[in-house]
Amino acid sequence: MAMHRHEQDIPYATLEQAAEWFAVFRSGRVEDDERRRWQDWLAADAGHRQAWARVEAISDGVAIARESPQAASAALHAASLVRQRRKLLKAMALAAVTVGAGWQVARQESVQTLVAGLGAAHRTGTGESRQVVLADGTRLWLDTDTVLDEQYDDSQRLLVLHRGVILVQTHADTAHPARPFIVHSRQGAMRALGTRFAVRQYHGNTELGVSQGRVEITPFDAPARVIAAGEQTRFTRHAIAAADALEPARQAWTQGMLIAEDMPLAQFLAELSRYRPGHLGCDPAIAGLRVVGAFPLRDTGQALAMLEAALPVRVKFTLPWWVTVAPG
Amino acid sequence: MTAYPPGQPQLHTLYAEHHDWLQAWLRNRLGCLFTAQDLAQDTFLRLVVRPREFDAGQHPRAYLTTIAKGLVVDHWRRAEIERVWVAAMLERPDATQPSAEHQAIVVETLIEVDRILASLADKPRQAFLLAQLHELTYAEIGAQLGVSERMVKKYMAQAMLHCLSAGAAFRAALA
Repeated sequence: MAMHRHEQDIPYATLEQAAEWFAVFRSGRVEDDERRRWQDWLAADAGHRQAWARVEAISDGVAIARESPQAASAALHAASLVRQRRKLLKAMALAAVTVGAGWQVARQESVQTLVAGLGAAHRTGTGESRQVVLADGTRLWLDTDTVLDEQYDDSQRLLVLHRGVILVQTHADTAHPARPFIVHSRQGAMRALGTRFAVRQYHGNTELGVSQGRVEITPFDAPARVIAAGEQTRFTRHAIAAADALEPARQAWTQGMLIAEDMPLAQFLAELSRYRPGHLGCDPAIAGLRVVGAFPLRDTGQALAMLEAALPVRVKFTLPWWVTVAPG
Repeated sequence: MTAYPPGQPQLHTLYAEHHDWLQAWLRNRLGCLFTAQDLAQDTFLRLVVRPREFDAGQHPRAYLTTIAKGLVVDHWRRAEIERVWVAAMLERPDATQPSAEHQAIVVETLIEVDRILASLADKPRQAFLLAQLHELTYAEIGAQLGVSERMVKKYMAQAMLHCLSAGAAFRAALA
């Protein structure tokens, strides 16, 4: 499921077009015929799609600092002062120069972000997982390091997933008429059509796996599509990937297990590191080794010991929170 | 002074002759032995990664200090970004503290943003940050920068093209 792309050199003209499209979409005012022209452009060439994927990666990459725009601006400003100071020294310019703050913080932290931080109704820490029963009987499992808002009102049952992973088992609504059940990720909305499903918020995309019933995905900038039981997919704001067969092993965390079925070691360690604080690194020489087995998530030390027994690797605890897996 | 074969300086010779001197030079600037050790290693690592930039005609120590100065500035930039971000997070109520891992990812992202946008003109840079970080509309950005919405759109395309050609490598796909 890793989304590694080998990016050859994309022609500069294609990058220019992709950047133009980005500016069009970011304006927030996109006419239907313009959207069609964009789709034609995407469909016309694999290089166009590659360039667009890079646009999305950059756009989503910057977006992770959005949770605190003021702090991010302040940090960037501080860095630019270091650079300016160096330029001044280098030019041996005026002895005393007040560096004007060219950057002004534009606005209070948006209300949305503030609510996201303070009003999060459900949250788990690193290594923690929890089961919750909501007012309407819906059962919710929260995986490690997950932040979720519960926003039920008269018209809908809305969950807003800010980060992490949830598994939802919906329940017939207690209110009449029944309200729709919707989960929002950063890329779009998922409407449950009577069901059990899991949602994982990645940095640039959302993964959805449906075990029972159906779920309708509506990305923020693309048409809706229904995902059936036994399917899983990923989506961005602009597109939904083709559905794959559901991997039930991906929901084993609800049982406190990480199930690896021929999983590359680097990916296995990336998953495991979500459950323990600090650094968990992998020597590139062994990143491709295959891991098979069921590992306990509540005792990641035990999981690492099992790994050492199963593979020709050595787990080096440089410090309790700095662990590297090296060739054995 | 040792004569180096043209085009192919002997890395181990360079290392043997200049490492201790470079480390002392760095320590003098940084005031910290551990950071000086790291940056001295990084300087020689740059030589391995990009050996072609080495001009055999140049004095090795002048060349090494040119690289090392760049690394020192990078180091301070990173330290500033981390310091300011972490300080801002500490002001938050405990319940909203992001995890250390998450903070590390945000800090890395900011360092990458800073590195790439540093070489972009001021207005496109501000427009891009106001849009992507502060989520302002083009109209709001135009008002802020004193330019038309049409101009803001141009700035946005310009900034994105800049990131694309700089090979911006933000942590994209996997968490």
